[in-house]
Amino acid sequence: MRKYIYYTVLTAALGFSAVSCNDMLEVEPQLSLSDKVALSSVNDVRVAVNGIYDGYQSIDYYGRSFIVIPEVASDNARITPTNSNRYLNFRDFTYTVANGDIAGFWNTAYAIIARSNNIINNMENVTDGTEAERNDLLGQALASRALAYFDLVRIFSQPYQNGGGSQLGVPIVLVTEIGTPARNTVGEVYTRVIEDLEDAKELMQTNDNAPERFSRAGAAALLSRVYLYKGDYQKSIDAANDASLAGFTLVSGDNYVKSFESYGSSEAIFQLKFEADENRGSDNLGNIFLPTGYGDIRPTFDLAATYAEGDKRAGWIKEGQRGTVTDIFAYKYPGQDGVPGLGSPIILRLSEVILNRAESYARLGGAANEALAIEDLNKIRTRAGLEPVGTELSGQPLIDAILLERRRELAFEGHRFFDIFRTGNDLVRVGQDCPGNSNCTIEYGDNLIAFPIPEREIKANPSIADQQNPGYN
Amino acid sequence: MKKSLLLSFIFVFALVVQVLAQNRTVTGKVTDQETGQGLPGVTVLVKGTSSGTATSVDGGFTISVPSNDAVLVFRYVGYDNKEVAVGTQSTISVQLGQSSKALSEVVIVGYSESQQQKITSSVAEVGSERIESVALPDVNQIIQGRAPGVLSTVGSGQPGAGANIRIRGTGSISAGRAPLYVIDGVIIESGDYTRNNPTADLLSTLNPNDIESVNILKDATATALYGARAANGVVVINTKRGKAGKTTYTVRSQYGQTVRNNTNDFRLLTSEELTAYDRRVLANSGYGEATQDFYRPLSNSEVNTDWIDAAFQTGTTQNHEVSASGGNDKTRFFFSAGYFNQEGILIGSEFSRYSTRLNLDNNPSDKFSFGVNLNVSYTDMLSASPGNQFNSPLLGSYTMLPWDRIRDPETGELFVGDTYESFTQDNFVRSSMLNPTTAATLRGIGNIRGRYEILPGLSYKLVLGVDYTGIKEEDYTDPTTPDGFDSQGRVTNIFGDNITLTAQNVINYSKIFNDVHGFDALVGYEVQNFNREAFDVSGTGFASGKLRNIGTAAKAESIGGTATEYTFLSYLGQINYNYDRKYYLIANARRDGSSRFGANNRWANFGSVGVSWVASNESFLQDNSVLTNLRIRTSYGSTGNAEIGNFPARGLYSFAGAYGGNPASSPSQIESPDLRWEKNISTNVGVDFGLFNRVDASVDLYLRKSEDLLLAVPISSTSGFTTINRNIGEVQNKGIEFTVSTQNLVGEFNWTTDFNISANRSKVSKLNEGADIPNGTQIIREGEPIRSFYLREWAGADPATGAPRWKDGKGGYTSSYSAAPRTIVGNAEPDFYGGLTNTFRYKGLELSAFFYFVQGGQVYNQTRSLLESDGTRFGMNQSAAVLDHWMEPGDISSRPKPSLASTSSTSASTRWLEDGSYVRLRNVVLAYNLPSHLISKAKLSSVRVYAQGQNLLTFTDYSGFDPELAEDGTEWFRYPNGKSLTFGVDFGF
Repeated sequence: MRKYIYYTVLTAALGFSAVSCNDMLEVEPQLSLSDKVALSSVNDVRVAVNGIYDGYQSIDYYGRSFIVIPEVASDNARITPTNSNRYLNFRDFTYTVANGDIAGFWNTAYAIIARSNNIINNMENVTDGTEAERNDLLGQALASRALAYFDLVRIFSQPYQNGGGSQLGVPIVLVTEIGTPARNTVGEVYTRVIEDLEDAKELMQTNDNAPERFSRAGAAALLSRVYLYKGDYQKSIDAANDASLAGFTLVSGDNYVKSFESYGSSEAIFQLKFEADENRGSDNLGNIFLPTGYGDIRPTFDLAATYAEGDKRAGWIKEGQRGTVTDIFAYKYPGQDGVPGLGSPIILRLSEVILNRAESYARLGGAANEALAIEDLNKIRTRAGLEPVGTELSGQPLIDAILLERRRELAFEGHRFFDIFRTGNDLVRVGQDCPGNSNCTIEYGDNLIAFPIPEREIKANPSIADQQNPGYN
Repeated sequence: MKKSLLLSFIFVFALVVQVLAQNRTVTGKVTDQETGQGLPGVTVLVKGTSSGTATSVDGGFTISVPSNDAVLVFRYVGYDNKEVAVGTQSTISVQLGQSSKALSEVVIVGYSESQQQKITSSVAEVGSERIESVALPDVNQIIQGRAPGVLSTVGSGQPGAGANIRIRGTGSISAGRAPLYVIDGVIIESGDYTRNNPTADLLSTLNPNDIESVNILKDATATALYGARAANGVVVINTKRGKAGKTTYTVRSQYGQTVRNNTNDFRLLTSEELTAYDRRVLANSGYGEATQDFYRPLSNSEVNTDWIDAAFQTGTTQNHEVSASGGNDKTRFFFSAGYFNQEGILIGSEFSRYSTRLNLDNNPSDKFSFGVNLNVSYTDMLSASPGNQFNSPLLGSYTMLPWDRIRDPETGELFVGDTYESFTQDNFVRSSMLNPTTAATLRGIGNIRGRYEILPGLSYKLVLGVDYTGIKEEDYTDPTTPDGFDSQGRVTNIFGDNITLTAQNVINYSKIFNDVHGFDALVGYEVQNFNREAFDVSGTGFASGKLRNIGTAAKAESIGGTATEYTFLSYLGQINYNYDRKYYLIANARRDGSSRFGANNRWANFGSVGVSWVASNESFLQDNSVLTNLRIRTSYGSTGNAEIGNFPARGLYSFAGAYGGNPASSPSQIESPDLRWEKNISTNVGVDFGLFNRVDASVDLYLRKSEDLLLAVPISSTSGFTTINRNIGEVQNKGIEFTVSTQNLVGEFNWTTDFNISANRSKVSKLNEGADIPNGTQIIREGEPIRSFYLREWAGADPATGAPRWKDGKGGYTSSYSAAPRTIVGNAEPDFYGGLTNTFRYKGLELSAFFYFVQGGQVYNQTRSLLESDGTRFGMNQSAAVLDHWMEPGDISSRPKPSLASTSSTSASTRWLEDGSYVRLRNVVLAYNLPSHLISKAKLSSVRVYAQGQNLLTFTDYSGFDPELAEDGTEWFRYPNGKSLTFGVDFGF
């Protein structure tokens, strides 16, 4: 390269016209590729799909915020009175249109959608590699786009049931362009998500990529959740019964707590893999919980009390000391590969799929379905070292039992806020679990359940300007 | 080596003083026959002897002659020699005419060799006598206050630190704002190329003593030949060249010391004072005596460490160099070799430079000439860590608790610091010695130039240049310092190569028709390509601090790399015409293509026109003894700012990411194919006049409109991006510049005064849909100056309660921070600034005092928000100013009742805004040129001994150590500039 430059400069200097002037001005960057050539082969696409997962790792998404916010804005986590001021607005439900965490999530989710769109729309131009390879990559991009839209609609809209899908969702964008799209309805977003996941499930034939990437099982597992949120219970069950999920097994009760310390447990279906060199120091996911980190977000006493004596899962809540204070702390992300607080968050795992199915059976009702629901529930309970529930459980008590098990099983994994409100419940926090004394109770249907569309987007996108969620200005 | 060199100087000096003779002194001035301007650098020799001198920037000279029979010979490149018999005269005025054979000996610099350039445009010149021997490493720092319209600020006292040069205001919001640098006719790289060092200036690789002159091109006529790169002005540096005649040698040696400046006696609390203050804070927060005794026992006052004293030191400066200059009709040369070393006033900061230069000119025939300029220099910088780091001596010295000890009183060992009560938990006295951050820079600037005269008046010139900068940075953290505990020590190395290649072809035509039509034109073509490659590695796990090489690291931590490139391709042309040296016209054009511009706008055209009228050449003024010079000039034209990044228009995928240990790519920049340079339209009107041949003055008025400024325009995030760069903004700068030089006393006692003053007003005239751009404590808003402070107005303590108050914007007060509105309360730009130099000469004695002044311009002293924290920074030492605070109802105080409770009282507000005006004795020189009769027998032609002071006096109301701040006007644990005194001796022989 350098030789060429000397040559061109010299020849140009001496007035030879061997090199056309405009050619000399065509200088290519060396750390980036033009977007026109960055996706021209199967290998390029594989690297670009990695870029999607790299996006999910953002601290504004599954790297931290999207795990922490649904816990803090629920009855699972509390923030101590002296704190680092992180996520406080979500505990108190005092976030505004200017909230940086919300804007960060919005921007990151749409950046991931753009990365996925570029791959999905460009796939027809890629001709090398095998068809299976190409389909697998396309499937990953579709599933990734679906997850981002599902998460957007979960955060920025009222639950599906509260409006039956006709309420405002988020703009659906399928082509990367500088546009000003208006918000679609929640129903339209769900339809898009389901279509993408169904396509992805068919395109991806194996689970070879699991759990660090989306696989067929990943698409199926996510589908079971999406249908459950939507209230399409039979389809949720069908998705959970997809053959691809058969290869995963529940971690044993004794290994349960330990299984979060490393990447790749036997029940992890999609897990965002963090490497030791992705150490963010105090901003590692676990350090917001651990007494050796910020340590100001701790499990509520209410949550701790739900674990019965002998529950093998309860070990992730432990007493610890920070400064002069002794308290209970969350050790779900205690560190990985010797790096304190580093964690590979599990986004989809078998326990959730089983609980999705259990809830769907229970909600469909009828003796046969309820028996299957109890069977699933007991898989989770017996693994935890608890007594199985009796077959007499039925109707709402059965649903409540499943939801309580779900709370215990998936605590601090970013589910609770959504699970409370999608099921039509109120959020109630009392005593030491709500020390700020503001907005301790949020009733189902409250405007605050749908987060505000970021101010930045409202200003930059005229189509959305009068579509802000009610209650914000 | 250094020592023996000094010894030999002393020896020579001792010889010299024993010589005696009967000489007398003659002074005078050499001017250009055509323009009447003083000619600098003219060789003045006593015929038949070896003694001689050179004229100063205004053409003045002082020479000692042996008798009335002496004849003085005046020689100047491009002019005819002249001999003048001294007789009984004590002052001699000489006019030199341009040689008809000038071309063969002309020094080839810049695109344009025309003298007319200076007649029609606004150019400020700083000559070598203002630059030589100033005890600063960087010419950017030295020219401060010397040229009107040029605001130079050095925001850091780190030796080798970067200076901000702003010519005629700030003309950009997000693109580059620094001028273009041209050395010996070739555009060179400038700025800061280091990545780990807090500040550095590439120009500090250049030995200022090698510089013949610095010309600062300001208006469009002067800059338009540099087209797309000239919008922020051009600094043209010419280095010294040999002159035909006897070889002269110069040996210089200089030594001095620098200490901290503390105009307004800033100090921190003593242990006793801080203990008492903190106990009051605790009491105000509702804690009883027991708690006060626990946290702040009265026994604290037994130890009283002065951390500021521990952080600052007396730094030494030394400079030693030799140079030689000479040649004959065919070949002329200048060479120099120099060593410069300066220790900073903060511990752990130092700068050294080793420089060599060879400038060679040869003309084998009347038609053909060629030349070589070669500068190779090496600098070594040790950087104090910036104030925002815990191990920084700056942060530490201001905030550490005075009852923490530096050393163990029993063993005398330095404490590590991890057991300190001070929040930094680090002893910077120990850590800054063990954790060096260094940058070693190798700079090679070389170019060759050839010129051939095709026909009389028509010549062709070729210039080929290479500018190489290699930088090696090392950042080491010792395993025994708190920062190195976790990693067991860490080293980061960064290696970078930067190469610029330039080729220039210029054809020049010059002829005078019918004795009155002066015509001069050039067309040229230039290619420039820049290429950077760098990589970095870091490793952890060191056995001890004894070995620091990355090869001894136990574990590789990270590797990284970067590379970038740009190309410019330019066509240029200039036409000069004058009628009878009275009416001048100059027109410039340049067409630039650049790899930086978007595909739709790859080529840019720039141009300018200037006219001037030299009224003093009209017959009615020709012999006027009052108005000895009068020139009126005006210019208009456009230039561009291409400092917009190397690939700003491209749609890009970045490959910097990774997932699961595999490479990852993602869109990193959205395509903006219309993106182009920022445009600058400037208008200039100027008058130059001279009175009684004793006063030379210039006034310039300018209007500089910067358009198409790059702004990041918000777009819907649904595109995957949040902003796109577009050419939208507009900023206007207008101002006035005045400069005057007077010869107040001429004769044996000589007194001259140089004064310049400039005022610039900036205004943001257009933003994207009028939307404000928040900029921290400042705001960029249409209709307002570009550096406007946008803050809540502080109103001190509520006399009744001691609670903090702000103005509520309705004429009253509020104690709620968020209820107080933000308003524009001032700006960081000075109202006016300038310099005043008085030079007195009596026989060989010379005293020169240079004052630099800045009036107006506010400073946001954010450091104070930690040091006057009203109790909220419990655990940090506080400024002595906090002793004055609200105590009881009825007290009027600017500081509220201190308590632990957070009250926003230290949040951003006008509380921290101060007047940044100052007057500074920037430079003072007392020199003695030994009479030649004393030294000629020692075969010396000149000996000059001098003492020089830098920043010796400062007058300001600013409360910090140093009012000189970078362009943003914000103080945040900043390395202050010191004051220094140096002594030196120059030998010529």
